[in-house]
Amino acid sequence: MSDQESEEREQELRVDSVRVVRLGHGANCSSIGSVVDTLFLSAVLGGAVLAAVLAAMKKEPITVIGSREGASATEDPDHDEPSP
Amino acid sequence: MDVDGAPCKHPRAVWLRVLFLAMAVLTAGVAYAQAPPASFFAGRSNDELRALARDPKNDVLLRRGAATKLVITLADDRAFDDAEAAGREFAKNVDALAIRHIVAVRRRSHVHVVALLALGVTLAFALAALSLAAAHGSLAAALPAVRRVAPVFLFFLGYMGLVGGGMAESYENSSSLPFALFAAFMLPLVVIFRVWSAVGSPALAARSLRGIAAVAATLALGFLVVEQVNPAYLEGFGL
Repeated sequence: MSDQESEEREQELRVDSVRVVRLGHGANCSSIGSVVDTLFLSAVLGGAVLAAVLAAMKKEPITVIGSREGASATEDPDHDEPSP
Repeated sequence: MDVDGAPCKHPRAVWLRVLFLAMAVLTAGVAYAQAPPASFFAGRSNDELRALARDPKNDVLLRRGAATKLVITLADDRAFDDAEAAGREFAKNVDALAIRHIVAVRRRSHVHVVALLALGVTLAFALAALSLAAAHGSLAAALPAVRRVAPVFLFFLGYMGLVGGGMAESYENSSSLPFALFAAFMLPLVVIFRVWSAVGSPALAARSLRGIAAVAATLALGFLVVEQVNPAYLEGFGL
């Protein structure tokens, strides 16, 4: 038996090598092509979570430290700079 | 036996001729029965397809191909009643795929309307809230809130568009366009949502409703983008 024949025999699909045969969309395919739609769905779901968090955020009170001892202010919740 | 009644000198030759003749007839029959390529139906009107599918003189596979093409074309043109009528007319000789296609496209058209409504209503409420805030002069105060979360959503959208799109692009038949378009359309949407939350009511009910609206709008955007760019992505989800 030549090396090529033995190599081909090794590459042959044997019945006991098959663990499971799946039915349905993209079944039995390990290529990324079969999961691109799922990949896009996960991106959309991730975007939905991000959008929900951003839309549901509440105003954050700003605590001013150091200007006056023990003083805190909640004048403008979304103000970047602390009030003097 | 020969014509004159004498026994045939080469009976094997006769059988070989018969065998070759049978093979030739069989080959010709198989060739004749082969379905025509898809290009055969390309550019044909619905009437032509219907005539091809109805003509009993045509080959069974030709009629089947014509009926299938007719049903799919009608469904794609949103003529669902006509598509279903054609499906019933050629029920005995139409690909089951075409019947499933009618159901999928009809369902997709319903989801399309719901998606447009979800996106439109959400944006209408958001823009109304932003207009009210602008009228009260509080819109500018919301910009720092956007600035604070900008790195987060820029990273997320960039990651989605570049990495997700890059992975899709690496596959031979896929395109990064759905990922890039979705990320591009999401950018103004999340900015609007953040401004809306900054100028909107901090009450729990209002925040919950805004969150639900944001989820609905994002899912709707994802559906509309992929529907326009590559509806094949939807087939895996029964749409």
